[in-house]
Amino acid sequence: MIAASHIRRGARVALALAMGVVLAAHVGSPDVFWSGKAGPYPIDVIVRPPQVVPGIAEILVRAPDARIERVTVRPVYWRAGSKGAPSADAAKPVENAPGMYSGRLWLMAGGSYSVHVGVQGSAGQGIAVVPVAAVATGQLQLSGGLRILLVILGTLLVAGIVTAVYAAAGESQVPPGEPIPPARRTRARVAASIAAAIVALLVFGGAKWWNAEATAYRSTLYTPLRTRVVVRDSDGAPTITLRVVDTNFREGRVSALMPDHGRIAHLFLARVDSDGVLAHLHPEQVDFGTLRGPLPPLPAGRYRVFADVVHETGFQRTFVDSLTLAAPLAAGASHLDRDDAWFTGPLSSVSTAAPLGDQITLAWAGDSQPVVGRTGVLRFTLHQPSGEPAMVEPYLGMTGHAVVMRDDGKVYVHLHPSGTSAMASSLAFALRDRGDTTPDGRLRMGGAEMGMTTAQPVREISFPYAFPSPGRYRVWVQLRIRDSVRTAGFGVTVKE
Amino acid sequence: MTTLAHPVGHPTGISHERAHSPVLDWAWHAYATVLAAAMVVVGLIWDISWHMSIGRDSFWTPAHLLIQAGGVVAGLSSGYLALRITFAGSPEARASGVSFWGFRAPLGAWVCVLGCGAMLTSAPFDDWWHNAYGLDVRIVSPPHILLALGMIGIVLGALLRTLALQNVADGAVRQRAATLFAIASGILITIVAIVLLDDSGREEMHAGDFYRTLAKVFPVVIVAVAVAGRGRWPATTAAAMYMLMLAGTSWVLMLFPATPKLGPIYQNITHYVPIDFPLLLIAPAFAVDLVWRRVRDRPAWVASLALGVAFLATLVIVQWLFADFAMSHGRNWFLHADNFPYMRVPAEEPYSFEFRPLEPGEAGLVAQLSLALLYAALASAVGRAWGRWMTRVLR
Repeated sequence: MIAASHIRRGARVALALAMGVVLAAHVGSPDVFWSGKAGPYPIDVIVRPPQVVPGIAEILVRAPDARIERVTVRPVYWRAGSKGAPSADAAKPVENAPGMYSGRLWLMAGGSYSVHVGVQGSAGQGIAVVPVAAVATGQLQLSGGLRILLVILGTLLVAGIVTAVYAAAGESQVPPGEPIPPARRTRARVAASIAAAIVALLVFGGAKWWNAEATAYRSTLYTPLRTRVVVRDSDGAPTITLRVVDTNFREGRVSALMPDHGRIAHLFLARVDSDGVLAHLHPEQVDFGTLRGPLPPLPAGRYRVFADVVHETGFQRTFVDSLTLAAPLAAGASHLDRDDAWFTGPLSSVSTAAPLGDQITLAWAGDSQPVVGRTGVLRFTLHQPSGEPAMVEPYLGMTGHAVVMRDDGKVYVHLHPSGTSAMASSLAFALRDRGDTTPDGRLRMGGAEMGMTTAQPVREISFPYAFPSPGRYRVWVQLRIRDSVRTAGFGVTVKE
Repeated sequence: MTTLAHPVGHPTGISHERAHSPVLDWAWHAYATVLAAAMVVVGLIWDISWHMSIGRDSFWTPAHLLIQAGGVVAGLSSGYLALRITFAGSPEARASGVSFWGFRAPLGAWVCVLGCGAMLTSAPFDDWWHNAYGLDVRIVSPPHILLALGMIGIVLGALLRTLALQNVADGAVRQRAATLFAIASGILITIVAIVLLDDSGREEMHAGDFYRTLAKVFPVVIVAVAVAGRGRWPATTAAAMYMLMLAGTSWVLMLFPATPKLGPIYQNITHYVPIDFPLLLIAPAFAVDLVWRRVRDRPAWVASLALGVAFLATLVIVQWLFADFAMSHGRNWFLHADNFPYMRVPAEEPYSFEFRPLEPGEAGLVAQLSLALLYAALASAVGRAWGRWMTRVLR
């Protein structure tokens, strides 16, 4: 578990910012969690991106293997590749936390970065590639103390300038020791008055300039692209269409989308007025800005819509929308994909095991009272009556998927056991660094998908994550067992 | 024996022998402020090179520390002088300063204190700005302008301190003070040239716009120095100081290894990348020094016009020819024309060795130079007036 104190310190920094709630990939959950291997060494990585770009991200690496001698971190910008990246910096061991390293990442341009975490030790060396999106997400407010300090210093400066002009036009021109003639004193007063007026104008102009800068900055804040969601009946089956309204996107002025786990989009519907209902669907890309796919038999109600896509730059993006189903949907399941899954049961609590069917249950094994910023919280144990570990089959190349949503929809994240990053993002960076692009810049993705390929016995599954803010959350975990995707839903309250 | 040019304590203005003056006791402070101003400006040149070569910025970079140290030297030495004069000075010493909120010190010391104050104020402001809007997204931002005003304050303070000494002292002290004044003026020209760096690239040097921009600004300082300096070639010395300071700092920096610590990196950099070779301002400054001797007693408009013509004509001839030379023979350590910062995209490199073509709708060379001449004459008039004011600074 990554030391909670470090995360809390970061949480305090985050709280000091009047930050926006929407982020590029996911919603209201800016930190990147990554779990995997760098060469022979298992490592866990947390990247806390800055709220402004250019800015400095914090990175924490947990590398407990005793053979490890050195950990380095290096941000690589998508456009420049590793050839155009600065040399790696050594991450510093964290005091009183063996196996923990911390570092800073200078993210100087907006867009897609991969962070190369290098690990060296007696068993050799390895590099882990962690995708990070650098986008401006928040605006820092001027604190009361700093405001007062600046006002005091500013006032002293203004008064000082006027006094200096008075002295420059008056006393400074009088030979040492002589009194100031009345005419010169008058001239000095006139000069000081003019200086006061000019300084006042400058201060006024400076304030206008500052406001203009702040307005210009706000226009660079990342906001989800506008979309429109429509549900229609198509060939006897209800169909959902998500259309991106944004012109730049529609006209293809952003990098193309690439499949993640073989799917161009992962669309989640979560009902607003009921705890448990969730659908995980995989619509097709009809044109550059339109996703369309069949809907399962969902109950009526208002739904939040989240659609995760990955650009060929490795940039992950979530479309956010909502829809209302006036009546329950008829079953049109024949059109559904075998990876589409939905859940309409009640939520379980952290102390009650969630049924997955066939008498198999999934129990919450993380903290029973989760707190903000603490990692290692999303752990689950899988039980079946025989006591044997359940055989879990690959679901979209992964052992499992988790969806975390705060009740108000202001936090949403789609997780894997490897963390918050889409597998496609890592793949895009790997291809890019080998220079594996076609002349028009499109990546050759064919047959490159990796991940879990065979069923494995599983007793416990975990997702690296820390809740970003307090509140009531819903957590869904999806696993494929006996060729059927099973969903468990939990309701948890996260405290500060 | 050192004497004072201006009598002290003699309202009639009739000169009489002075054995000593407190003003001369404070000469150390004039040296301190010039040193502080030089530290600030060398630090600034270093900082720009740092941003071109290494990139990673913090309050604690050596270049920033040099700039801040310059501010501290100016602020502390001036503060100390003010406290000493106010609380421990003789009545004569107190009468030799100017009054400022009940304290007494030379005018230059107060301007240095204000400059130091502006620099100090800009530090927390700039830190907040970086956190709020991004790390150095723009060079020209309100906190950076405040910092620049602070630096200019320290340079102006140094100028005023050396002026007061030059104008009050006589004999050898005056000569030394005049040299010191020319050096301080060179530092001022350097800071002005740095402000204009973006508009004065080599590829601009055959465009009328370039001369129009320079004509608006440089004659103000160069003419003022020529008018106020008591040395033989004040403006020429100041311009030489500017060129030496800029080129010399660059030549030294280039000896030291540096690698980019920020991406994206498009240039292979192993040592500090210097800023552009200085403008050849020594030539127009020499012309201004020469012409001023001849038009000193002419009416203001005649003098200003003559100075403007001398400045612009010399600048155009010398800089135009130099630009041709630098384009073809500039890729060496001396002229360092291939000083590409790490973020410079290789595809853009050829443009650094081509003069910028006229943009659609942009006025032609003759029209631009005519306008430049008008600006040069007006700027010379302002410089002349400022210079004449400077000759009267006695405290």
